[in-house]
Amino acid sequence: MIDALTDPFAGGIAQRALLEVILLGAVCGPLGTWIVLYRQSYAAESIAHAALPALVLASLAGLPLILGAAGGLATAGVAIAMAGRVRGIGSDSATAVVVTTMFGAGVLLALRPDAPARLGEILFGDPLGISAGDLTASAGLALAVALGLAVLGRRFRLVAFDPQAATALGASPRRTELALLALLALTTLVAVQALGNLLVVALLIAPGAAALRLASRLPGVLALSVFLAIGAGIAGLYASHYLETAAGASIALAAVGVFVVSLPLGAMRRAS
Amino acid sequence: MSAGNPIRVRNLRGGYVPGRFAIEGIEFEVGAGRLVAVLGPNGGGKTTLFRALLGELPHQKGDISLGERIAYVPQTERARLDFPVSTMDVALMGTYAGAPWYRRLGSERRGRAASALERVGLTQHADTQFGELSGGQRQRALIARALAQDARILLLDEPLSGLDLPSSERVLALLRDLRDSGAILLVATHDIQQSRDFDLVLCLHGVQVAWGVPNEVLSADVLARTYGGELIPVGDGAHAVVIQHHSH
Amino acid sequence: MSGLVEPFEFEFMQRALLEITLLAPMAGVLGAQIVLRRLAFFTHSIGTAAFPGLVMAGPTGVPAGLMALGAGGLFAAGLEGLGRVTRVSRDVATGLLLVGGLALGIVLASDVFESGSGVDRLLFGSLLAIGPAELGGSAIALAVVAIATLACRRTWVAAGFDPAVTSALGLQARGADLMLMGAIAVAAVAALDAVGALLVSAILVIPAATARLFARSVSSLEAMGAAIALTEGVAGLWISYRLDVPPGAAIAVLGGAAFGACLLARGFTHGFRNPNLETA
Repeated sequence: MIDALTDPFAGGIAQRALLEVILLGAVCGPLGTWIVLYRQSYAAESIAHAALPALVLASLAGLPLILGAAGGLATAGVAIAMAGRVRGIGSDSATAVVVTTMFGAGVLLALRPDAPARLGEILFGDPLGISAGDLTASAGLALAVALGLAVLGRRFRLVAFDPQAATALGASPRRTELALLALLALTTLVAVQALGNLLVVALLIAPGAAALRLASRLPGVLALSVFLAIGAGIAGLYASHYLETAAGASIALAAVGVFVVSLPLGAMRRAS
Repeated sequence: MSAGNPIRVRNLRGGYVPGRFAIEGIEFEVGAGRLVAVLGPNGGGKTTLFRALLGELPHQKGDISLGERIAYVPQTERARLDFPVSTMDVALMGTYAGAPWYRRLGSERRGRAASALERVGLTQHADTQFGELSGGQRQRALIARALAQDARILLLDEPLSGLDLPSSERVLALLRDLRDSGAILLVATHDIQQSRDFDLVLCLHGVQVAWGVPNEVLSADVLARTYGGELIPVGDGAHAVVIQHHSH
Repeated sequence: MSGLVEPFEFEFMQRALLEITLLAPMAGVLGAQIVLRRLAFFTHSIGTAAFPGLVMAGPTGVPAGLMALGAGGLFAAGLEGLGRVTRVSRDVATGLLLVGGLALGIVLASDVFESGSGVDRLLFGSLLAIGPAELGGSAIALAVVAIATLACRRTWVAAGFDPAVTSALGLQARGADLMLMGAIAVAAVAALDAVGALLVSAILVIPAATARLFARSVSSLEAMGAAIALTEGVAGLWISYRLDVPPGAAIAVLGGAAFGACLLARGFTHGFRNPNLETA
């Protein structure tokens, strides 16, 4: 029995994957909770998708994926912000144009017959391909996000639950949202290696959304989201080992599964 | 056509959540050709009453008898300003009900829309984009949409909010005009002064506080109960300020 | 000149051309509603949600279109159900269903496809491999969309303009909305063959958004959208043949470039700032 639990993590590759997943869960959980509270799921999804061309370019140039992700997310963020300003269109249509175009550009770059870009891993993640260097970078970024969450936590809570009081106290909702999106970009950087830019949003919003249904007070919600996110990550790794399925997709599916389970549980909680 | 008054409401109560009444104790009758103010604070139930009259409230009890067709004119901010429709298109929307889907709208419907536009004085703006009209013109376009439905009972939700004085006057003149031709207009407003100029007033704050002719009904006590606070007369007594008591 | 026309002498290119022609009217009519009624996210998600259906089509032998429609239908039903039964916000539900569908498809595909190429086609389209079955499916889709549009278009416009008043106008808002979702799902499934599960917006959203920059009426929005979709589709097809790149991606990038160019053009003619025009 113990063997079954520890077998998957016997080797260095798998151990790094496990560490990565724990780091990810620790930041994606709480950040995702704020994303859901601020109703920025669509933004999270779009920014991650639109980062594809930069990721592909980084892969083609042989640069570490994290550099590509950084450039991609910055460009994507700016492009989407500008798209939102286009009048007469509606920001969701403008965002769809930007994201689809950039995504298409990424695919063009990646699927040229002479290009050996690893599109599959870029899109769907490669937790088992994480090197020690990647892990260190992830740890640094995760630390930065954790610090950001600690420092801004009170501000986030104020603006989310009492925007009028917040403005009176000098906290601008607009800048707070921007700060949140900046942290989102950093977190996506960490997560894109393990989950790929298509699936990253699963670990970002599913544990947070589930935690919001299962706990009522904010400290409890945030703690629960960490637990659920890490749990989903580990569950995904187990599934991928024993069922031989793609690791990143398994983690994403586990996260969505956590949310699905929280639906009836949350309803029962509310009824009691 | 029913004998008696076109609008008869008895013991109406209802709300959005079962068991909790957003409005109750509503009872009134209105004859043809009346301008009625529905007076109350924001959140007091004016829009809820309108939805009840339209039959759109999720839970309602009581009797409503309407002898004429009824139409709703919501606040202008609701209608999308960037939608690619002309003023005539908006008026035509009032004729959509029952139009066969396999044919273009016939001349009868187009005629109704054109007359409605004429009634509200927007014929020369028929091809202008709705979003390019002024605030007062947009309000009149929405009234045209209601008129094109051949409705003789109109529910108007704060039609004068956000309008400057000349536009306000223009819309009010139109409303009086429609009243003179026999229509019944229920106008939701929170402007006490304005409601004094109407034929009838219904004071609403969850419950029906008062119903009748403004001069008889709008006493300081009624206003206090309607606005849930204190009314402090200012200057010569013709104007007053409402102090809202906030509960925490 | 012959270089332009030459690719279209091949039969597979002619079939691809026919597919684009069948998709263009749907892109015009439904694209208009998608842009006017803020349904871009829903459209993208329905395309992605169909992906697991496509993956399972091969091994189970069920026609891909039917599986995709089934998956898309499940998605839409799930979304409606979630919205009705719980208090989960719409964008969270859409996002999670989308990513769940993708992840499910990938997990299923790990067993079904050894190489990644099959998945690529599902995700980015196989316009150059369109067969008579897909063409037939698209023709049926066009017919279904045409009927739904004829029946509900007025209600869609009235509800898009002013939802508060739609039932007071005597129109069946709820039924019409369900028809719209259904029509979008059908069109998305038809577009899957051409551009793949991840780029459905290249056909159904981008041309309409571009047309929206100039259209002054709903009819002109529909007509312009269809024309732009047709042009971009044909041009993208040509580029994909010449440069040997996936056609869905080519159409998407073309569409984005065209949108950007039109945006600039509008800026120069209508001014970049128009304080009078308020956006809702």
